[in-house]
Amino acid sequence: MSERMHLNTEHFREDLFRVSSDGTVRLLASRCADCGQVYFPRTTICVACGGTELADTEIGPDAELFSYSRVHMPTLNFKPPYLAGLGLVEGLRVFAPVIDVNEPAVGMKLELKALALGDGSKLGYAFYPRRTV
Amino acid sequence: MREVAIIGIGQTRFGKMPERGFRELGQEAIRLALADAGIDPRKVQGGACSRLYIDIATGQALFSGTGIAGIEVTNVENACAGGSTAVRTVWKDIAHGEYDIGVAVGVESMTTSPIAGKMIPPASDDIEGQLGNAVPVTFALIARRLMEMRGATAEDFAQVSVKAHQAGALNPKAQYRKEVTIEEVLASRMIADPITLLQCCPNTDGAAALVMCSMDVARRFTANPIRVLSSSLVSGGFSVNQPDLISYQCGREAARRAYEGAGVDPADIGVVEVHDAFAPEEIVHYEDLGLCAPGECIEFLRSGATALGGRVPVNPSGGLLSLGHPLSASGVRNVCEIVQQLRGDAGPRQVEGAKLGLAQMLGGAVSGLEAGACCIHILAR
Repeated sequence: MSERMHLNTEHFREDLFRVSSDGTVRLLASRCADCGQVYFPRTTICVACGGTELADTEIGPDAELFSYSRVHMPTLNFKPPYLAGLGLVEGLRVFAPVIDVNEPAVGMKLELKALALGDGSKLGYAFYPRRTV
Repeated sequence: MREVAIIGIGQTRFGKMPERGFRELGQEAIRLALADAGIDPRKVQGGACSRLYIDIATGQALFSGTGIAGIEVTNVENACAGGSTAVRTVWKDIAHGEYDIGVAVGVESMTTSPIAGKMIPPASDDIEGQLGNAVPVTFALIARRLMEMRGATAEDFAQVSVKAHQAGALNPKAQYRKEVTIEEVLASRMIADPITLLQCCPNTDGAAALVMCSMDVARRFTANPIRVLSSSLVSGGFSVNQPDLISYQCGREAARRAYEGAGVDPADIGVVEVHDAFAPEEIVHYEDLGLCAPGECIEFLRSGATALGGRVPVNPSGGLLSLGHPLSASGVRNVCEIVQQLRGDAGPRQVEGAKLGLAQMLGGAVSGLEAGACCIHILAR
C-alpha cells in the first residue's frame, strides 16, 4: 500500500477508526464516565456498571498480543496463510490480523496501523510490531 | 412445578445425505421416538422444533407428516444450543402444566442448506469477520490461551479427538466410525494453528427427537422413565466481563443453575455430553461444568477420566467430532445419548453404572458477547 493511500481509501466500516498521517490507527471507542470501562466499537450503555454517560474517546495504537493463530484457510478478505490475533488495547481484547510478525508470542508489543482489505478497495486495520523509538 | 420424564428417543444416522432432505430426516426421528415410547401420535399435545437453515414453520411440516397437527408447536433457533433449547421448551411447558405429553425435535440438512460446502458465515454486521476471523479461528485463539494459561499442548487437543473417535467408532449412528491416532490428528491439514482438520466437527445431516411427559403420565407407558432433574439456559455474557477466553460466564452460570435445580453436585455426575465443535473447546467445559477443579483441566484430560472407562466419560457418543454436527439436531441428540446411557442401552460404549448424566450445548457467536447461549439438562434414571 502506498504511503498516502490510507488517506483516501474508504474504511470498511464508518465510525470505527481514525488513521493518522503516519498510518497509525486509533479506534473510536467509548469510555464510561462512572467506572472508566472502555468499549469498542462505540456504545451507549456501560454493561460493567450500568452507567449511561459514555464519552467518545480514542484507543490505540499501542497494543499487546493476547492470543494468536496462524490461519491456513481462506476467509472473507484474506488468503492463507496469515496470522490472526487478539491484542489488548487499553485492556480491551481487539481482533485483527497481525502483520510482519514471524515469531508471535503472547505479551509482545504491537501497534495498530492501517491495512487494505481484500482487493484493496476498503481500508481496515491490523497489528504490526511496535516501532521502538 | 411438575416432574418431567423422557419416555422415548429417536435418532437418524448422521452423515452426508443430501438425497434425504429435512422432512424425511426429521420425521424418521419423530417416528422412532414415538415408537420407542410406545405412544400414539394423536396423544402428543405439544412440540418444539429446532432448525436454522430450513424453511419457515419446519416443526409443523415435520409433525404433520407423522400424524400430529392442531397442537401447540414452537419453532426455535439458538445456534448450536438450538436443539437443547427445543428440549427445554417442551420441558418447561410440561413442568408448568401447559400439557402432559410433548415432542422435541431437532433437524438440519447441512448439505442442502444455503451454506452447504462452506464455512458457517460470520453475522452480516460482524466486524471481525471482515478482518479475518472465522469460527475455527475463534476456537484457535481459545486454544492458544489454554496453552498459555493451562499448559495445554497440541497433543492434548489431538487427544480430545482421539478420545471422541474411539467412542464414535462404537456408535452405529456416527458419521465417522473410525479410530484415529494422535499422529494422524496432528498430521491432518492445518486449519487454524493449533487446530487441524481432524479437530473440527464436520457439517452433517441428521435429526433427533424425544418424547417427554409428566411423571404421572410416564408411569402409564414405561416402568423406567428417565427423569429430567433440571434444565437451564443462559445467554452469553458480555465480552468485557469475561477475563479470559478459557471460561464462559454463561457456561458456569448454566452449570450452577442446573446443579442447583437438580440438587446434585458435579462429583455425582457419571456421564456427560458437551459441545465439542473443535477439540480444544471440550477442555474448557471441564472446568466450567466443575468436573475438575479450576486450573486442572489438562491434568484431568491426561488422567483419562473423561475417556470411556474413565471416572466421568465425556462424549461417549463420539461427540460432534465423530458423530458430525447437524447444527440444530445435536442438542437433542446429546440428550438422547444420556437417556440411552442411563437406560443401560448404549451397547459397547455403555458407561457402567451411570445414574446421573448431564448434556450441555454451547452455541453462537454474537458481537460483544462471549457466545450465544449455554443450555444444560441433568437427567437421572
